[in-house]
Amino acid sequence: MNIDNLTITKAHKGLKNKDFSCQELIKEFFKKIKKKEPDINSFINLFKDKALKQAEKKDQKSYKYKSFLDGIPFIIKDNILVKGNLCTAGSKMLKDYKASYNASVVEKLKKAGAIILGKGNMDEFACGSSGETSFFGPTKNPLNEKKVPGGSSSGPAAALASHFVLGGLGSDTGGSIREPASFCGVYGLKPSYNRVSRFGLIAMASSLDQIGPMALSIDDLGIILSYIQDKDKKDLTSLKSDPIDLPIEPLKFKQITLGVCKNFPIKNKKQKKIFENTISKLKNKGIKFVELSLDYIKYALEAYYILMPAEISSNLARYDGIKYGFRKESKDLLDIYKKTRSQGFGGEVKTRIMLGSFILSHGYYDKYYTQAQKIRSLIKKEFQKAFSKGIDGLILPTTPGPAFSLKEKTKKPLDMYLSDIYTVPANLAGLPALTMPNGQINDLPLGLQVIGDYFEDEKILKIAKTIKKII
Amino acid sequence: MISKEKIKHIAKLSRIHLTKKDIKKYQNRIEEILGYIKKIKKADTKNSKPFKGVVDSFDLRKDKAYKKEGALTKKLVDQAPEKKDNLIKTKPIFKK
Repeated sequence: MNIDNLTITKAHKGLKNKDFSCQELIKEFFKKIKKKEPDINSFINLFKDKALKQAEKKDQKSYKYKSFLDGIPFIIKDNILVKGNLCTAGSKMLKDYKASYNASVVEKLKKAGAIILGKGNMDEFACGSSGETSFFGPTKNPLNEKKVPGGSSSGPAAALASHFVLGGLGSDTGGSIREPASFCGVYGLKPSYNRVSRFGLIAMASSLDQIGPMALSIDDLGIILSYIQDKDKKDLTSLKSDPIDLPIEPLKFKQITLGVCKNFPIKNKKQKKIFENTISKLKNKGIKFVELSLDYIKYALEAYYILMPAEISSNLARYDGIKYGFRKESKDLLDIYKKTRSQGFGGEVKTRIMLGSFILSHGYYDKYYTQAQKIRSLIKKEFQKAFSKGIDGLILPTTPGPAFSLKEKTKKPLDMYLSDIYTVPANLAGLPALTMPNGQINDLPLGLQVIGDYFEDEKILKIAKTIKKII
Repeated sequence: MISKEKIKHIAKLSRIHLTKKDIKKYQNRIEEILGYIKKIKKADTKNSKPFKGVVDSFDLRKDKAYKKEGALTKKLVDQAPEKKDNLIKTKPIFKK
């Protein structure tokens, strides 16, 4: 069995037709993991025995595969709770923390029969764009081990590119699904805000966080989304979602109008050429293009790096060494708090907590926080206006260039933050956005990003499927 | 320019202990980031209201106790680094 060519769709067919048993399938993935994982470091924990036991049950003669995800191997980012297992968020603070319940998305995957092979490495508390801030060591890019896999969902992206699994769940606050998927040459979708329950996701910046699928094809993104989406009574911000038609059908070329943002320049020359070539190809097939002038999107990254740390400083206040997690003993309570947080958090997380405290402090709140919230309203309105004029989606690159080298940006936080420039607008406006591989620079993949109108997640999957047919 | 005193102050607000070396390190990092994000002041926002959410409102549920009282207590208390008789133990908050 060659697992390198498998997708969820193909593996489901194979299992259903009994071309291979579920145990054979899962064993094959663990064989690959054993061989290559020491070089990649995409998992924080592996559940080999549990996974094989689950597979064994599905190999009984009378077993009927009940869903597309039944028997499919998954990786779950380690900020999403899986009951009874460690959930570290990539931090020393939670290195021994055991989840006492399942996240709603995990509950849904389990109900569909998915097999979780392990928990994915990640930047600490999802703070990072390279996968290097994890307490459990950096993840390497499987396509070139001297390069970063992107972050913060570094483990799921690298595990998919290594063919260790067929599906993954990540979380995306400012690009944390799309950037690593792009760097590793796989597919990732940040669903519309409110489309997928966040119950059981360790919070980073709650107004921006969204759980979403990572996979090896557009259809697989659609399949995973169809199982994890919808209203959840445990997350009151989740909303009812229409079912997704599977497989994802492409649209007629002439039916599609795409927007490109003219005042959001691509600085990398090679990348610009690849992007422009893609547009020409799509135009030649009859896809219409509209140039959009979005005035406030140029402030998106600045606004994001104000709002996100502000929310982090408040969300991460719960880690105090008293209720759960790491604790450093000291003479009095205040000192326990300070030493625990000083030793339990890494440098990037501490930077963001302190930045957030500064932004929210007396005398700075209006200048930074209120101003950024006003910009956020304007960005949301700009997108609404663009979509109301009849565009179906907006396309732009996923990242400013391909994967960079390990350690290249760890000492330069601002350079690291600039990696998120194309991804944060969708989070600020709450819109669905996906990345698909499109072109390469020096043998490293680039991603093409498609942003859709609010709750038009299925439409951007269809647009991506159509684009895939052309490029 | 953000002063060392300011860094010490926000570290205190954040409940994070910093060594002298740390103060310099975070002063540099935070200064660099503030230099970048302060560009937002150029944005004309006089006709805009602060963002309230992607959707305007949600159906809220009634606030009611989960199952029977104490059903989750042991599970939650067991996660605490220090505990006594099904209670989380801390150092005194008030000095005698």
